[in-house]
Amino acid sequence: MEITPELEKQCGEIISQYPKKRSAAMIIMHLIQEKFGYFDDDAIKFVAKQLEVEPIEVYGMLSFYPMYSQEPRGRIHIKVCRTLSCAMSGSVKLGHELAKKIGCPIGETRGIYTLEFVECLGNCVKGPNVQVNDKLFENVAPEDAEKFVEKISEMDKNGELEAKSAFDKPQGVGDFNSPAYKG
Amino acid sequence: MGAQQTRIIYEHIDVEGWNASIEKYIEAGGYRILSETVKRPQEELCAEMLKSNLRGRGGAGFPVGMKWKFVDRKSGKPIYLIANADESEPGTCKDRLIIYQDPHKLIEGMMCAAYAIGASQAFIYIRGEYINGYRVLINAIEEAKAKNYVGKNICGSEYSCELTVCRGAGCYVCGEETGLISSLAGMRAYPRIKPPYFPAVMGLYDCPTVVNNVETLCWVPIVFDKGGDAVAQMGCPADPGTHVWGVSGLVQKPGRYEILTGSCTLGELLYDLCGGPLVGRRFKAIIPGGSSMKVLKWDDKYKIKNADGSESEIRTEDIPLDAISFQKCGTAIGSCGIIVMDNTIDMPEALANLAHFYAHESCGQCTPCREGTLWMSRITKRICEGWGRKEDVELLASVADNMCGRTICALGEGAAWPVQSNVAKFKEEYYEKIRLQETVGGQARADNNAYRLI
Repeated sequence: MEITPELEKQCGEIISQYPKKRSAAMIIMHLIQEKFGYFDDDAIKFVAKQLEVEPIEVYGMLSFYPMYSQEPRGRIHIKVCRTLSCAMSGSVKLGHELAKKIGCPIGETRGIYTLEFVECLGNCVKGPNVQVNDKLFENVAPEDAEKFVEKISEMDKNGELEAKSAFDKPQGVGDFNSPAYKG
Repeated sequence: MGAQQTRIIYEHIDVEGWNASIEKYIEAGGYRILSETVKRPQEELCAEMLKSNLRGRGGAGFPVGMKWKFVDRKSGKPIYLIANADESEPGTCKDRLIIYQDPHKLIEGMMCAAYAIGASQAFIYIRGEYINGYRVLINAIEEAKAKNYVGKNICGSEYSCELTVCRGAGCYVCGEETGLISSLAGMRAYPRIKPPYFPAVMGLYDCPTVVNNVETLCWVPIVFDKGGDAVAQMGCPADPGTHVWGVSGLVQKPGRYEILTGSCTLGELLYDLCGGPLVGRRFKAIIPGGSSMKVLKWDDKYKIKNADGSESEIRTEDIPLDAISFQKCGTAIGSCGIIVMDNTIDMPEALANLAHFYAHESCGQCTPCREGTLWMSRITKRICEGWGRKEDVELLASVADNMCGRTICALGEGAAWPVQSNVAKFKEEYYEKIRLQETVGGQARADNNAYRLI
């Protein structure tokens, strides 16, 4: 990983919002995850230095929170909600169908894809829910798995799937009907 | 008395022409209450909240006024306010729309609450999956700061309060208030044991802290404006106000419905507003308030005591939608996320799905929960895969019984209650499933055409 002065400055700005340095850990780790895709030893040491804690403390968080990763993930990171409401609308079947269609076993990374079952995505009334990078797709029926894969490949080709930074301006504040708004 | 929505918290949600900008919110009369609130004495505001009898909307249903009253104001330490936006209870998705579509409602509520409890720093802890929600909140706070509704000298008063947004990273136990506090302090989200770690006394950085749910905080300006007595008279006296019910699962029209407490029954909600069961099916069971609450069998009847002391028998569909009525029927409304199951659902499979969830989300800190959730997950999975044993039913119940009351936080109970209620109410189904597996073989599912849940 490359540590730029901008990155250090951004960390400083985040830390200044908290009464104690260490409280910025969650957000700084999101920043690193977003910028580099995963944490290597250098990344852990960098975060530890910023927060003035021992690297083991950062490692402890890294291994605890599922959204931080110790390995690189695919460019298209698919998370299928498997908890009860979504499962009753067929999300378990959807996950297995997607695995077949994209050739990536659940819980693993193959080429540009990472496919995972995750717990509740917090949009239970519109299951099955699938999150791809930073976008949420609702009501993805397992019967439409093939269509869904075509759709996201198309979006990927057009650059629409690329994850935007969580630190950017919100998308579609003025327009609730845009799909970006939901995700 | 048909089912009807009363939109108070959701007044702007999905309204055409509405957006999340501060201009729209001010146009609709927003931030007026905040500018009046900062001129009133804090004791008066806390007294209004106490009088309102308002219950927290996060799941435990603890009276908000009491929570505020417990805050240690004499310690000399700073007081913190945290909005719990880590909505991760399965079946619950009510706060999502408030954050995405009406963030200023939450911000106004937070600033009113922060002023009343005397906090000079407030936080919003939003779950990691709500990425655009995080962006929307950051943007909204910037807008509010520019207009002096957040930050220094709010609305020209002496009062100042900063507001910071923190993001979770996919962890259910962060929704537990002491777990959230640990996470916000930059550690693993390990819940802390009460006593001594009551947040009102020893919360964030061991300072007095109030953690309130998003929907609860949206009620604060309403209570301050209308007065505690007026709010106490809305709907059911013991549980005043409205609840946003998120109905998910197997109904015609799943969705979020805001309903005045006690104004309609569960059956009216599910038939009138949600359109009833899917074609050709019938309801079998519902989980009333997020997956941690005890399941109700649709055909069951409950003996409840009326206010005048007489007893009456009601069916599941007759339960009025308020906290007290559900308590009388042996469950709780929790966070009002109703999960509906119909006759195609195999109850052991539904339980296996939830048991897997809790096993995944247990923080691993205390033994009964770490081991218990894993055992329950393995046993239920075994039953679903066709290798159930008769004694598994008793074993499941005994693991769950031994978790209750022996864990640091409520996740233990939250994992044990669904198991206890499911096994007790659908015991025959479990035994029949296992008997068929032993005699005929296979998995013996309730309906082979239904989607697999595990």
